[in-house]
Amino acid sequence: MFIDLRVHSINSKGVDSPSRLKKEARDLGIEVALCDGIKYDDFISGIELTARNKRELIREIISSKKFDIIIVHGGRAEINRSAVSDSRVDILAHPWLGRRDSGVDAVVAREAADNGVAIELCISYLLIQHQRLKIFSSLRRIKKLKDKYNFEILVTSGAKCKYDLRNKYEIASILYLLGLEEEDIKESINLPEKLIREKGIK
Amino acid sequence: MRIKSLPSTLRERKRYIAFIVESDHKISGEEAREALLDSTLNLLGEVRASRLSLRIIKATSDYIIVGCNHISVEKIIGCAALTGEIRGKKIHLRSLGTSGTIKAVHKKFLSRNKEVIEVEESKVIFKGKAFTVARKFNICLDLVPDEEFLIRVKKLKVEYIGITQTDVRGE
Repeated sequence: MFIDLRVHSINSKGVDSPSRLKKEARDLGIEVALCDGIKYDDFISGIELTARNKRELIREIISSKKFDIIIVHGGRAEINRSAVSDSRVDILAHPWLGRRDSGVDAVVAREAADNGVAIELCISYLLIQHQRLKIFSSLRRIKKLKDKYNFEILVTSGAKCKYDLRNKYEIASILYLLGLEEEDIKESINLPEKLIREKGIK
Repeated sequence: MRIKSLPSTLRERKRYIAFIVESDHKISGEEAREALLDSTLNLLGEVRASRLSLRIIKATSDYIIVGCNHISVEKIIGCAALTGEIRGKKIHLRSLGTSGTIKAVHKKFLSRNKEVIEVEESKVIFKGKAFTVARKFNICLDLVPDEEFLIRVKKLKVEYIGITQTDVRGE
């Protein structure tokens, strides 16, 4: 089953309640993890950390131990590199944000592979037409590095409302459109479940 | 005089895909059609889009039936999945499935009973505040946003806050 690891409910940036998102996700045949920075009892809970420098990021990572999934808001070169150097981080989100390049170089790629940090591809950014071109070209570069260093690319919807949720087949079709091969698509879709299983989250 | 159709060995294998139109807003068939075509043309460009043999068989406010050749099904589902908005309204075209004939599409995917949306004016307490219920179906409730959520709702181009009966009972 596909697990969407970054969904925002009304308790953070979204407009739908957790139970409504759960219902909609069940209708689509997927599961959702709520990334609200709130620890839920009946959901996989995540937090998205935003930091200005490495020191602040480490402080935030230490204080986020109780969350199942730790996502770092990428973009700055320093943050991208610090996030992938820490094995407590699960996902580096949108490393290309606010940059001209993809935000992932050989050093980031190697560190991500060594520390098991996945690089995120967020579908919600692809829904904004003027951003697509940049993301597609970033992804092409990230894909080249992935083939060499073998880190993982994880797909999330980044949904803030129920209409942003995508099922497994839609995500597979989007990845196929982006030029990923069948094996990579399967791997990306199964990765969230594998991550949850490895962490021992129920 | 009508031209002869292609010999059967040269004809393309046809597939028909059913999409359901999901939105908080009222979306006309024309808008749904435009959303799908815009997304396809923007993503693939005219040259690659022409290879899909894409034709929209029927577009209503509830569903769209699209015809294409058998090798383009994934591409069209991908393009539809990347449809985010049309004329400032949030929209999602969710694929229901693929079939070889239009009749089978209707039978397999579009014959199910549609969820009945009841419009009733009532108030519920959610997050300690009173909200007006705009729509109700099954256990789902759509609420009219108050001032606190209005900016967020407008930014995301939706119209309502989505909750379920359990959220109301939990208060």
